[in-house]
Amino acid sequence: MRQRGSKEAERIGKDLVAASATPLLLAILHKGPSYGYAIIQEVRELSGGELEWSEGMLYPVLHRLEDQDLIESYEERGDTGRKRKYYRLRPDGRRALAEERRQWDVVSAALTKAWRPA
Amino acid sequence: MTEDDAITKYREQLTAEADLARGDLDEIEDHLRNLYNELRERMPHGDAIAEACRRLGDPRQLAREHARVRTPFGARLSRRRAWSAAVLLVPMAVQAVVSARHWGMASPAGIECGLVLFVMAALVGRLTWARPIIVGSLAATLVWNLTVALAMPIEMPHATLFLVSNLGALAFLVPWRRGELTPAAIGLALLAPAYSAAASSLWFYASSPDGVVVINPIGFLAALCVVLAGIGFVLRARWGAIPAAIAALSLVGVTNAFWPMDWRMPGGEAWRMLVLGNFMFGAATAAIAAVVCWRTARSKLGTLRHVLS
Repeated sequence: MRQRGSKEAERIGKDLVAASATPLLLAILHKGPSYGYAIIQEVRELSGGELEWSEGMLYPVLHRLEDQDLIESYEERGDTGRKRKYYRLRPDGRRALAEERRQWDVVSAALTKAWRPA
Repeated sequence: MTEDDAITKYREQLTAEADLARGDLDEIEDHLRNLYNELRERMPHGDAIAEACRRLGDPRQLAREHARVRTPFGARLSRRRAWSAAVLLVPMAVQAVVSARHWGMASPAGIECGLVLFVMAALVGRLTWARPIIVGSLAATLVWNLTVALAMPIEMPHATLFLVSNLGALAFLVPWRRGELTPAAIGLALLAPAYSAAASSLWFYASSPDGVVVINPIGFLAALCVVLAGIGFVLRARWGAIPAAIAALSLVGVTNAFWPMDWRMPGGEAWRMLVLGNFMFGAATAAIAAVVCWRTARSKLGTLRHVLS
């Protein structure tokens, strides 16, 4: 994944974008089943447009999560009448999301404390 | 360039770099169309399609990323499905072991038992080439058992039992989603009926009018070639097409050899038709597999890269 932004200074680092991909995807799918294009839109909305992925690269990540049994896919006819692949969270995915959340909370709390003025 | 032309070109660039299952390509196409429709509201057609392709990413890089996750034989089975199918296949494995112990490990039954256990271990290990092989084998066995059950319901009651158990295992392995298996996987699945036909030809003891038992070397050749072709498929090697073609020709030869024989067994004529039909079906699937192998192979000699994937 790669992030793009209108201003160089606003760009979020490549490593941070990559590290946040799995928890973000799991969190979005925790709200309900979704498909690739809608997921990208949601990521953009959640990050206020600052976190943008190279859109095609979303799919290898989704397929990797599927391979790890964290999510599963199914097909349903979309509003255009074409079949569309949807993804939903599996029980292992819920557990992985809880663990990701715990770890990110620890990191976030540590950073908040570290950046507090002395 | 129209929207459809641009999408076709993008798909071609993806498949030129790596084997992507049709389902994965359709998913990317769906995204591209959605993106184009969104952008079309704000910019001219040409710019919208160019921007949509740009935002989706370089197709060559995208294909390479896909290839890291997806194998040439399609999506990996989930643990749940792989284990469920394996459990349902246990009776088949037990039957293979019992048969091998009865006939000896050097017999066709012994070799088949080894192959069954090897492929089942690969299924449990979620190696992606195991799934098409088992799907093909189960489909071939299913067609055979269904035909036998319909033709001779009283003489072969156990065929009905195997029909049910095979259907159960197949339900977990069959690609329910459109394009879930790649063409290479379908080619591999097509080899299974060819192997089944070749192996079944080895089970018959044909004797000449003077009472001498006639061995069936052409059946051995067909079985050996199908196994070699299977290895070629897994290695993604073009040479795999050669043994597949030889297997097809051998099975035609087997059909030709069995055709004039006098079938001295209960239900002889019905068996004759079933068995000859099975040989011809196997020859046809081996021939199609040879073409698929030639067209989908990545190189002449192949690579070991996908063996453990």
